[in-house]
Amino acid sequence: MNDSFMQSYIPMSSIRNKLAVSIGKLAAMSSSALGKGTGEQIFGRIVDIADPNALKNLALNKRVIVISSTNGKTTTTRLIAQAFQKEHSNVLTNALGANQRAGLIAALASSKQGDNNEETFAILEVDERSLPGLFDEIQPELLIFGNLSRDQLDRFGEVSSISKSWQKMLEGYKGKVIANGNDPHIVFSLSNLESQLVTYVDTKSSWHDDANTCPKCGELLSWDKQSHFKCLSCNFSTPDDLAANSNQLIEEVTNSLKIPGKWNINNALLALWACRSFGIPDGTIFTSFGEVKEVSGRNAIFNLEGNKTVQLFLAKNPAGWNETLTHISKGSPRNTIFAFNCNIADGKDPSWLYDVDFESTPLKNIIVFGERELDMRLRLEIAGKKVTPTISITDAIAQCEKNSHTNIVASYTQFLKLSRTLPQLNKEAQSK
Amino acid sequence: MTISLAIIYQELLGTYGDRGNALTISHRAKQHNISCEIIQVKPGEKIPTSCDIYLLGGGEDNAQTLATTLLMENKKDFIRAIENSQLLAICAGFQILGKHFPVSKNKFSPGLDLIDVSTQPGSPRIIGEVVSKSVIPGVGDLTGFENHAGRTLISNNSTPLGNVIKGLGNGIETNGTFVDGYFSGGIVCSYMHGPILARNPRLCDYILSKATNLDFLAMAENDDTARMLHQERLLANK
Ligand SMILES: [Zn+2]
Repeated sequence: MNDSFMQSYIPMSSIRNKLAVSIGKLAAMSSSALGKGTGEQIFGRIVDIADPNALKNLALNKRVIVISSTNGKTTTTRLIAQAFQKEHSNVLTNALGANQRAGLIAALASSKQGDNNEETFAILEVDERSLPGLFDEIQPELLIFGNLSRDQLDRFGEVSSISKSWQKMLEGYKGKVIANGNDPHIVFSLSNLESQLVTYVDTKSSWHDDANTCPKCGELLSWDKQSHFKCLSCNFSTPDDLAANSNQLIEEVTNSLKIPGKWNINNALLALWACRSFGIPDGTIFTSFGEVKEVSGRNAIFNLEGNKTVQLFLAKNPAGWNETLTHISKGSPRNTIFAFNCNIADGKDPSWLYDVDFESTPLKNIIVFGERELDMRLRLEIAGKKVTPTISITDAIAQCEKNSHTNIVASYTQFLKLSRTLPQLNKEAQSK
Repeated sequence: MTISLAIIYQELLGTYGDRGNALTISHRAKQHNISCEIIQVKPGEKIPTSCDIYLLGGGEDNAQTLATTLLMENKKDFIRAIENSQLLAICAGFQILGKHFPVSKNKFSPGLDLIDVSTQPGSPRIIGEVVSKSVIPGVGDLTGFENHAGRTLISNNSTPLGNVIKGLGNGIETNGTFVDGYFSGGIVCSYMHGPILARNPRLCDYILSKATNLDFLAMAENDDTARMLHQERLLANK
């Protein structure tokens, strides 16, 4: 936990809230010192217990913007926050991706004392499952909804349950929404809102495997080449009034970005419309996008011993894996390392690996490791790939030739580990 | 030698990676020098009656109901199709073959009534690794991952696919034990995802043997990745 966080000023209406925040900080300090997990998380949890109204009170008098999605929410949040920070002096965000109640409390309590006349913007990434439970407390004025797809079915259940819970949550909502118009689950969740509140963005997102039936009536959905959907039975379809993303605009967004992949262009398009809705000029938005080179280790590049460079990708679910594979299979043949676990945070059932299209992805020199390396290895062999099994990241990197470039695709818990190991290896290589 | 395999309504019954069973059969057939043609039967299409193997996978509630409606419309063809071939049905696919399954609170959808089983709603949802002892000689222990709410009762004169050692399988206790799935020669049903055939190469060999009239179960096992994964999962669930 950093100093500015600890010294931050907390504008508070109740003494109880103030007291709760102080107790939380004390606990967070001692737990950080003892190395027991993230200080922010513990801080948030304790404040929440000490004062059940903490989240509501902390969100009061702030202009809250919420980003929620299965994939891409951390990056979209970062892009929006980057642009807002250019225009406004009081901007807070949960940059570390702590996106449930405790993380939000910590983020909202972190506002620094700025010019008292300036309003505070809270740009918050919120877990798609947690959002309905805290929606009324944080009173967002803008929602950005990216996509809903299958993710850890063992923990979270089926996709349609989220869109239904969002639809219920949005009863009576009078704020604005920027939404991916190509995602049936998202469009369904917004179907009872007045249409002038919603800006649908045409993302042409390509993952349809979790949206073959109509969320409204259960009949088959048909998809056209533009990724527009239409129910064959009722009238549910991609909204007619998609905000036009002209080719020129997509090109400008693409050129402004330093982070790779088609999925990040989609994240950026949503971020762009969110920033525009607050009057931020396009020039500022594009400059800000260009300043984001990595988001919490996603897509970070490391230089390792033997002039080996590696780029780290996080992939959490079938939609994410397919996007990542499409991206890494472009360009010259490279080494690919797959790091695969099935812990609770990864999802304990790896069956969905068979819904990832390894078959049509050209990949050379594939190296695997991780606790569930065998599941991954078998999947790749069934896809007709040759695979080198290894036991660790150092072992895997040793398999890559000198002066080569390697893409590493990691499941969530592997990604967290590698986000610590790779900077260390990078540092060691530079000091030699 | 060539065999043909039909995946029925992958769009609807494809939520849990069960498509991998088709990929596994094709891969394993190739190892035995048999080529395998995979046919995707899309919703609205006629079900071909001449394939050697048919697959039904798991799916979400809406999709399961729609798949059942479509299969009802094609019931004659479907019965003809599976008469002299192998059918593997997982999770929602298993439930569809029975008398009825729950669609919402207190509401049931009739199933195809091809096997003597019926499914009741249940709580909590059954989620986790599952291990069973297969009733099929030579197949041994089965491992997979189950994720379902329904409790499926098989009739007294039906045979389960396996007796559960870990997990809950069909989710109904009889005489102090749990069982998983259903088995009757040409029909193999289970709640195991994984996919089941990827994680259990001997079960895959059983289905391939029945489809080809060859005996792959009599052959010595290769120490391949599939077998290693199978062993590793058994060990992890001890
Ligand atoms: Zn419909």
